[in-house]
Amino acid sequence: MIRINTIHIEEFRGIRDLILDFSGNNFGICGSNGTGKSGVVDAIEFCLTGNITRLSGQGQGELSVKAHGPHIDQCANPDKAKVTISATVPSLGKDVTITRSVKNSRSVTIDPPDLNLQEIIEELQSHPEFALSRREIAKYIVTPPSQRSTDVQTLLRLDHIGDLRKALLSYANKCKREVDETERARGRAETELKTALNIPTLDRTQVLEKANAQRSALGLPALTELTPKTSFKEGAPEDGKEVKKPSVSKQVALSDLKALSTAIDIGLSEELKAHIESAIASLKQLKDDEKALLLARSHGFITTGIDLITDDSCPLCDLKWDAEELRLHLKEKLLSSKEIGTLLNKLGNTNNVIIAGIEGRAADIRKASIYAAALEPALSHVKLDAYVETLDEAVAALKEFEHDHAQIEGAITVLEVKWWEVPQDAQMQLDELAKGVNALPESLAKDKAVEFLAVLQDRYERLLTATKNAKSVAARNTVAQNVYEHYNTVSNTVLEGIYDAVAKEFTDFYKAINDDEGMFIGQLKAEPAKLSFNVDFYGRGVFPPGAYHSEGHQDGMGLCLYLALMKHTLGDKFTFAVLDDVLMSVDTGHRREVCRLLKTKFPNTQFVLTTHDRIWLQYMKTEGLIQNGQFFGGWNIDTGPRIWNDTDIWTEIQQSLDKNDVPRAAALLRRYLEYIAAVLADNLRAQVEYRGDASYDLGDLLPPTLNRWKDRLKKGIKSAEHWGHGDAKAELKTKLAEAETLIQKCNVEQWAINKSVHFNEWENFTISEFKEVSDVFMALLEHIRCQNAKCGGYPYLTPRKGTSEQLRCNCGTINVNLKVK
Amino acid sequence: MAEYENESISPTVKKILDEFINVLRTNDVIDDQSVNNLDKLLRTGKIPKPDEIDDALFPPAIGDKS
Repeated sequence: MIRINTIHIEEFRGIRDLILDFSGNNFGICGSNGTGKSGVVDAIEFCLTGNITRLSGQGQGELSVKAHGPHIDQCANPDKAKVTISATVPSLGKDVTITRSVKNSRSVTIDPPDLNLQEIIEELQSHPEFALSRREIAKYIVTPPSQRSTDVQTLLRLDHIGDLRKALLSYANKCKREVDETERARGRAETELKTALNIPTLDRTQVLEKANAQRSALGLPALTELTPKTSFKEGAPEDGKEVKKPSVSKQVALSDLKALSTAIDIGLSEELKAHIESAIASLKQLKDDEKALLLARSHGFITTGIDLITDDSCPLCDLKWDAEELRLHLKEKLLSSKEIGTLLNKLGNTNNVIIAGIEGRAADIRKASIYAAALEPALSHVKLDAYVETLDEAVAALKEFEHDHAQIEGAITVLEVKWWEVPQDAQMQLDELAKGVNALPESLAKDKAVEFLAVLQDRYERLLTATKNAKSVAARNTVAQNVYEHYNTVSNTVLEGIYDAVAKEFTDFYKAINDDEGMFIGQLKAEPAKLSFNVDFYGRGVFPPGAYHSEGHQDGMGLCLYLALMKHTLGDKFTFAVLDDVLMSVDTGHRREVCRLLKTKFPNTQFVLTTHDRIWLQYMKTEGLIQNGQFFGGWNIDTGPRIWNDTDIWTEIQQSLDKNDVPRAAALLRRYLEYIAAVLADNLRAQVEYRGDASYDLGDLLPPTLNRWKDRLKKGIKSAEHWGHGDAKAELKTKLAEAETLIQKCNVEQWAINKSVHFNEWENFTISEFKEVSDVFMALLEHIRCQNAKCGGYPYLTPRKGTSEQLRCNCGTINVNLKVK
Repeated sequence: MAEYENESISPTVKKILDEFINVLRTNDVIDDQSVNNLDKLLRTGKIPKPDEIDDALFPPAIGDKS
């Protein structure tokens, strides 16, 4: 990542020509709505990514960077609309200049043309979440869990993990289907062998007995063992040599036809019937669950619908509904994804049995068709072939459902057809075939034996091949399932770890800005295809953030979750972020904590912050979060933003005095002191007279605040004395003496006693009289402020409630122990 | 594994692949060569197709026709 030094924006959005100098530091941009500050955010995003989210986000279909990126007067000259950023890449220790023009937004000029720099810019391009607007915060907080899952996964670049999971699952499912298929083929081969042998179960002894009976008729030695290399016809006369090859083995054909006839007479076995009924019920259940089954699609749609119910109407059609009733109604229509998984699994097993049944029937009819063709003269088998075709189509429909669960109608149709009932015309051809086979002349015993052994050999070898194939496919399937399951387990474990770490970080951040929420916790819980986010509400339980927390708290949560995610995703590379009006609804009581959070937890991240609240900008400066800022004081279409520098207050006062404008200098000083007195009163927990309208003037705030400052220094001296810290005690005594001198010079203590001699009279002073007042206040505030140039913040007491234990600044340079026991 | 590294995979994906491959290496039903092939395939940063996974896990033996 980078740190921006300067940005030069030309003819871009509402800006004509603007150069801002960030100097690689945090930077604040302040201006009321419509002054062009978001144009700067757009410019940063555009230069680094080539995109402007505001023009390309959801619902912005008619807008485009090319058409609407240039200033309105330069629409026809997109080449003039360009942004140049000069930046430093800390990880490389190199400077870079990045230039991008709207004319060719996909192309970026990187100077110097360094491959490492190019990679950094490409990384930014693929990771545009460095810029976050208040609107985008919502996507982490109040979006439905399914959408949050997607958004967070995108931010964490975890979508690849899910895609890999899908690829491995797809492969595992393919292997599983192949196992089912090869196992069915093996089962059919076994059945055919049993039919030829006329035995109910495949038993080695019985197979050998049957084979040896035929071999005996040929005077061949008996076989003693059954191995894959066993040749039943070894020693028998070769086909076409000593005996004429029969077109059809009458004995085997009769066995096959008898088995087929028996199966037809039985109709549907009880087992298969139960499977078909179960499959139809399951398919209809799926179909009725949101008819839209189209499975996950409509399932997700209803889930989203439930999340979107916020008032008493349907979020889609606005029809009046009681919100709770509508939720229940939708939930009833919805099968959870887990239930769907179970249901589909059960359906898969059931369908496999049914497919085996249909394929078995198809194989039997196909065999009959072959017999019909082989007879002399051949018999017609057209109707048998048509029946086979129907059965094949039924199998295809069921397989199609296994591939694509949206193909539900076809599967139901197949299962509701009585495929096991042979069509009448096909049955007639079967009857003709049976007559034809019966009419075949009886072979001699030796010929019958040769025919039998030939068929036995063929079917035995086919069973061996099918078994070998099934074993091989099963082994592949075992590997595929193992690979998928391991990936699933590992990725889930890693993701859970990531979510736990992010949730913990989020909790710490949120607690840092909301110390009034005590035992606050945040939980991120990954479930299939969704990411639930729940937060504690004052110890009363955990709820979605939108349930009870105020909008301000939700904004704070959004920021904290974003920061936690970015920290986790980028780690040390999180060197740059643009927060566009993100903190607007954070209430004043928590703004300083937000500043401290950003400053202390992300010291190496450059934040560019925009706000339309000037006081917010002051907070950022007071807390040392930003060193520099830019005020946008207005905008017009011809010139763009009107900017004026946020010069140091003392310089601004001096400039007024230089112009002999004491009233303005007095007003500036008074306004600034009112602001800073409120900050210090809060930091030091000063005892100020309470006002119901919270309208405190400088006379109400400053005397008790400065008294508190002296009091805390005295407390620090006592503590140092108690612990025997002589150096600290001496240092604090010097500090106290300095405070007393400066406060006396300010005459502040007099304000409470003599109300006629106070700050309201400053505007009537001469320049030299006012300059004296101004200088002493400047000295007083410098005396209180941390002297570390990198910090420069005002000290505050910790903890925020109860007995104060420490007076410190953000960087720890001011660190006064107040405890005496 | 280093030789297979591809810059396009995120640190999280890399972490998952490292642990995944380590687990696969302890699994008796998958041979080392297959694990190496799969590792190489997954670290390209692309989402593999079923046929590519199949080729990685069950490379054709020498002499097999392609």
